[in-house]
Amino acid sequence: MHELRPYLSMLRPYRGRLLIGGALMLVTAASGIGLLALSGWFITATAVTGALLAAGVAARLDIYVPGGGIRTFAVTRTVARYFERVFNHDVVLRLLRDLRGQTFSRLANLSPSALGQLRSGELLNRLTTDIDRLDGLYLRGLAPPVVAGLAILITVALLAIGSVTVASIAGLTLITAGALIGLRAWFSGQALTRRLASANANLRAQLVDHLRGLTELKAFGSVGYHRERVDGLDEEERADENRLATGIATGEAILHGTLQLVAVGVLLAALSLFAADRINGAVAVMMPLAVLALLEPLGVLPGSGLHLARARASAKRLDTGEIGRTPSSHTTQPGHGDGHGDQSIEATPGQASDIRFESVTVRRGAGARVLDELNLAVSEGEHLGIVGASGCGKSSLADLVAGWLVPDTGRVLAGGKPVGMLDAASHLARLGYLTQQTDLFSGTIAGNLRVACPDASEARLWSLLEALALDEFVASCPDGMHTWIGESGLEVSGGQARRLALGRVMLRDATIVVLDEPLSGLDEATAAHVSVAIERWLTGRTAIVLGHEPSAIPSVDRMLQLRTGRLVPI
Amino acid sequence: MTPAAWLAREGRAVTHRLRLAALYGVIEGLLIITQAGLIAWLVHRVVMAGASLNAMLAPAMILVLVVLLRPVAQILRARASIEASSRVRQRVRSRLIDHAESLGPAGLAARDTGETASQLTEQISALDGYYSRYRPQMTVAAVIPLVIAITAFTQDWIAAVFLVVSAPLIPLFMALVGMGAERLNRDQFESVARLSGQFLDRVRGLTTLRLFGRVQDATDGILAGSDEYRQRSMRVLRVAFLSSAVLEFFASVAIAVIAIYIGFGLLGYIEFGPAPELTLFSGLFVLLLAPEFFQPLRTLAQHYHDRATALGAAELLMGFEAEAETEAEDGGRTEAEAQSAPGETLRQAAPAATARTPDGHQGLRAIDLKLERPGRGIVLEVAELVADPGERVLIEGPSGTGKTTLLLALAGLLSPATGEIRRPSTDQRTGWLGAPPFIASATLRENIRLGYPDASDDALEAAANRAGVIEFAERLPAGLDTGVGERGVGLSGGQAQRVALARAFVSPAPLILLDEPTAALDAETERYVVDGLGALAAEGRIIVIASHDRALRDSAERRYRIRHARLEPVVDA
Repeated sequence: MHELRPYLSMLRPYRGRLLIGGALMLVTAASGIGLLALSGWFITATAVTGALLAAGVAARLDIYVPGGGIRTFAVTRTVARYFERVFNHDVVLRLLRDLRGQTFSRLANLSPSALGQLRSGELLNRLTTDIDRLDGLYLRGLAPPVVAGLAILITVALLAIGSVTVASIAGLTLITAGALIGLRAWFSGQALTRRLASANANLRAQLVDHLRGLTELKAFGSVGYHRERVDGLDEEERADENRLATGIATGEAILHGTLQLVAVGVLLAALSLFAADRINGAVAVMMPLAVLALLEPLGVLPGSGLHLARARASAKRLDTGEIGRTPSSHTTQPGHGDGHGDQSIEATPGQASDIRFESVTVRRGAGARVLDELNLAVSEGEHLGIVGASGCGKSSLADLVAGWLVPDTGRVLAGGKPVGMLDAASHLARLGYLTQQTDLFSGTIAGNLRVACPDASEARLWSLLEALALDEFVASCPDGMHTWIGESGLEVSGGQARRLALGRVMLRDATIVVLDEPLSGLDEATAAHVSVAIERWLTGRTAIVLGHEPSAIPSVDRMLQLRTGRLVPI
Repeated sequence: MTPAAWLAREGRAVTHRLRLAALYGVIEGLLIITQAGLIAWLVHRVVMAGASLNAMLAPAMILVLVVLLRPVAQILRARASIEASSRVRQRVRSRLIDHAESLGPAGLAARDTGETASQLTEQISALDGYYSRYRPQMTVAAVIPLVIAITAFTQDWIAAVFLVVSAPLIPLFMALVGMGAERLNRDQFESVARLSGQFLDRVRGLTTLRLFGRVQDATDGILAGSDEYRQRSMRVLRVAFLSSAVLEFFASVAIAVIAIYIGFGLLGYIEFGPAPELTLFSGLFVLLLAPEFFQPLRTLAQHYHDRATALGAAELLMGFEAEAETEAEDGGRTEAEAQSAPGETLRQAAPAATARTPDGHQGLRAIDLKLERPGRGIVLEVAELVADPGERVLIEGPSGTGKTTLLLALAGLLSPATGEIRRPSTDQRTGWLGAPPFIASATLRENIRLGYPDASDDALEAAANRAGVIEFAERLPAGLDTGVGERGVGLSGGQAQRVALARAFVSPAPLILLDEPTAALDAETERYVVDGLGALAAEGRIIVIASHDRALRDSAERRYRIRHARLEPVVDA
């Protein structure tokens, strides 16, 4: 359960609300029990009295109090249920807010390489589902067993009016059955949830491979063989899903059956008590009905056991410590976070901005050298272009300058100071880094640009858009610069997205600039226009520009080729 | 087709099981009615007629039997509906994968494979609740209330009228739940999706946010967005919950009204209609039935979100299917021919366009080819391309001039707009070394065997050795059984190329195509590749390399060059 502890402690601030919500759930359940039990009592009592009256015996029955009670229960049940749902959903949404905020802050503290893994990994796929499972921890996982327990106590109290013995036997049976079936759901749910999650991930990975490798598979003529494996994993996944669903349905059925059996047992016991003249007929009918009314609060127990099991699995996945431990972490730096503790040196804008690589080696995966004893010096204000095929280590080189990757041997210096020793925030503040990956946010065009500089004026943004040959496109958008782009907004092309990302970097007053494939996705004319803007902006800054071929790089002072892990003249 | 019609169409394949599930649901309903009747009768006999409990042994045993049968019906129903849902998903998934396969590499190039895989996994899983819960419950909700109303009618028509009076209201609730709540539901769904999307968007962009020092602002934005969402959705939910509250209200009030009516009737206060004839049996029977009258509808309302989820998923899947169909029609004609039987390998299929030359020529020949890519028109014209067994043929040209397109056509993965490709033999297998080479999330061994699953371990290890895979695999914890790719150890460009080379060694494919094989290599791997190609050629295979690397030029027996969208032979001076 320890995985759930942080989430349980998140509930603490909402103690008051959770108590009210729980109380409303209980009132609903109690009204349901009261309604059915009292109705049964009432009609039996009237039947007995009616029979006496018909036989000419003087009999009296107060019909107003029970009648009023029945009406009251009918109304409170409905009203309590309504407010319970509204109130508890409000709490759930408050928890959702906290969960999102907390998860985001935790993810934000991951190292850039762990973030890279997160992006491509399975975690991101499930992130929102996982968070949703945890926000329902209280409402769907914890509250139902408590309410069920209290509802059983109410029924036991009603049964005790007739017979304490019957009440205690029935109560014990119900609590045992409820607990056993709830626990069964929790335990088998955990095992099955784990299996299902891995079956899911396997199927997904196999499918991704099947689609990505389709060229190879079709060319080699082995599509059929690999398709069988996909189908096999699909079979496995569905078998696990079915097992889980069947398990829960069986649990529910057994619980229902037990409840009905207890109701029948109570009925027979009550009738024999009646025959022995120990209780009156009305109470004898009220007793089994009080048990039957438990169906609603008890029926959800298997589901809540499963919910808890799933929430635990989700909590485990969200435990960000896990992210750094995935197998591909070979590539990442050991224990490298962002800050560097007490030794960090503040980087100030006025400082020197030359870049030096001193016999830097970066290994990847199975020990291959991506960068091999690489030496490089870029003097202040110099613009260096580096070309190389994709996968040759250009982006590693860029990440080294940003301090996001730590060399296996050798060191990287910026302004004469080892990048690893610099205070990360101040180093990034003077750095203009266009990453290979374009990240646009769903938001307005202006908002996306202002990520880099929140108070950039609209005039400045327009002149920037003009420099990037985006002014005409933006002007033609329905809301101009305030047009919503990204998810549920206007779709921008790869080249436009690239230029917006570039524009963002150009809004920064950076002294050290790293541009990784700045012109990717641009046609020749646009690339030429943008190149001019880049060249103008780069004046007075130290820059490394990376591209897959010389034409992908604006004109620079010097051009080198990255090949077999080393820099060679082009 | 609407998403609802699509769901119905997919359900047709499992009609039998869905009916079976509904049947068990109805049986369970009938058992509930029987149980209520037996309880009422037992109570009546003992309390009113003074019968001894011993005389009631038989009905009591029947009651226990009925109670035991109910969970059985419940489990059978669950099994039938779970199976139905499972089969639908299996069919849909299999069909959509067929579609994806028939799109071929050219058609899939425009799609994000991760997203496609998500659609084929998560979206198809999202269909579950509709078939396993909603559909069977629809039948139950239509049948059981009717049966209960009729049963109640036989006992006391006025009590039945109380139920039936709400009957015209039921379509009204359903409309309320159906239309009003469905819209609210959908809006809710959309805003949930949008908010989740925004959250994921920020998580994905965390690197950028950190780069610009904006993490704190983004966190605040997420909190503010969630709060705003809470307020907005609470306004929606307050209304949405009303519809279920109405059902709840009728269920509660029906019990209350019937209890009071029966009570007054039994006391003799009501002198008209059937009331004077009420007994404890009929009164209790009707009372017990009243909540059951509404229960199937309440359950259906609970499963309504399953339907909404499935509709959303159906819309996305339909989109993918439609796209697959149109692209399969314009783009991958050979694909459609070669893969007309899903899962059949190219080994058996021999497209007409790549038939064996009648003159018995043993090499690869392409004559008068025009190659087109969707949206780009004709990208390359080939007057003639010849490659004989044992030859290394180099195709040079800057990137983006159609080298990959030509290779796809030679592999039979893209059908030429015009012209003809003659393969050296009927063996359609082609060794493919892409740029970058494809590495599956599997072990090194499985990766090498990817193109020829029947390869023996000895052959595999020999190939791994020749291609230089063993050299780095030795340093890995599990050697050749180490998992690589996205979920395992990451390979460098050079290591990946060695794996791809080993793959070609293992495969008996007579034709081997390479796309920029030496672009991102270290010197050592480059040597492995150059030597390896020589060895493959020596085995009598035809090798076609698309590259602008000088290192390969010296060893090539024949060279072509792409200029102005035409392939022309290069003759050394």
